[in-house]
Amino acid sequence: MRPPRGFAKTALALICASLFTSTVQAKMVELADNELSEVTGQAFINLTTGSNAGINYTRVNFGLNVETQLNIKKLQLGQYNDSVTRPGEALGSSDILINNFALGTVNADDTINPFLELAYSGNRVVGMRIGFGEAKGVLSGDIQSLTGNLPIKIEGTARPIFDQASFFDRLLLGVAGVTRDTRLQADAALVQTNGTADPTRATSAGMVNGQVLGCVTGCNLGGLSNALLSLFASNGCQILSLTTCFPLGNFQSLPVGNMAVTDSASTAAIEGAAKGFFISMQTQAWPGVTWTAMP
Amino acid sequence: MDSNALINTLKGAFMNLPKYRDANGNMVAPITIDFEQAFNGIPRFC
Repeated sequence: MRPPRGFAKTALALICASLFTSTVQAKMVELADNELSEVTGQAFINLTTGSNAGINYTRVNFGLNVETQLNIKKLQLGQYNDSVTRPGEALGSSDILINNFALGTVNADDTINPFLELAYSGNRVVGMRIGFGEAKGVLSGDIQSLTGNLPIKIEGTARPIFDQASFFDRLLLGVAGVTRDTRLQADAALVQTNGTADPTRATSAGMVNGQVLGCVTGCNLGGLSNALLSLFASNGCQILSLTTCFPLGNFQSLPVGNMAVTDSASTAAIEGAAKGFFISMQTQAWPGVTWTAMP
Repeated sequence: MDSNALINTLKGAFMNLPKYRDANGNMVAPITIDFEQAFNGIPRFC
């Protein structure tokens, strides 16, 4: 029986291919130093070092923009239970205690650019930070106590303020040229319930004593509105009858970064992301280093 | 703000979410909420 023509063709092609490939060989050729110096690249992890106030830092940048949804049942850091060296701290209390902590949400574009940083004095590690070069998304949790730096901008129409204010306060707002559609702003931070700034184991956030409401747009008296508003500074978590401090537990989700800015696929950056976010554990205070000078 | 308390704060555990410079070069807060959210809180996003 004659073999089919298709089989013959296939056999011929395989024989030709094996003949040709046997003559093709690749050889490794070393690059000269000057050729190599013209090549730059970045792969995954890089290390950076720095120094400030006698503390040396090594940071491991992971070089990743990660869309994440991270859940921690209980984030508890800085529980000392040491009444001798840390008097005044309630037994069982912590620097940071957040139940049901989460970074990111399901089906959301929550992005972080993570790094790990070690701080050392001489050859002794004195601190560790888990941080995010850029962070944009939702931080959630039942915040019981929080130590740190958490500036918050409150901005929007004055309608909720009118809803909360007494008749007399509404009258004063009207005199200041503020209507329900006026956009106002205020700065808030971690505070005690008396309005004193409190970066340590805070349970409330709000306007620090002395801070005032500011007019953004829609004030009928222009600059005079700001001048009149500045007469009523927050004091003891109150502006007249208005409450200006709030329990952290009320804020089960906080938007980090400017969520209104859409990410662009054409850039490596995370548009609208907050920068410099980290959680730190340190065994000692660093001389001369404050929040504003935090490296 | 009590500077001694500030320094003591830097020993222990803390969260730093500082103001930062945005794309327009303005120093901005990392968290912005409106007055409705301030007065009534923000429920957990899912």
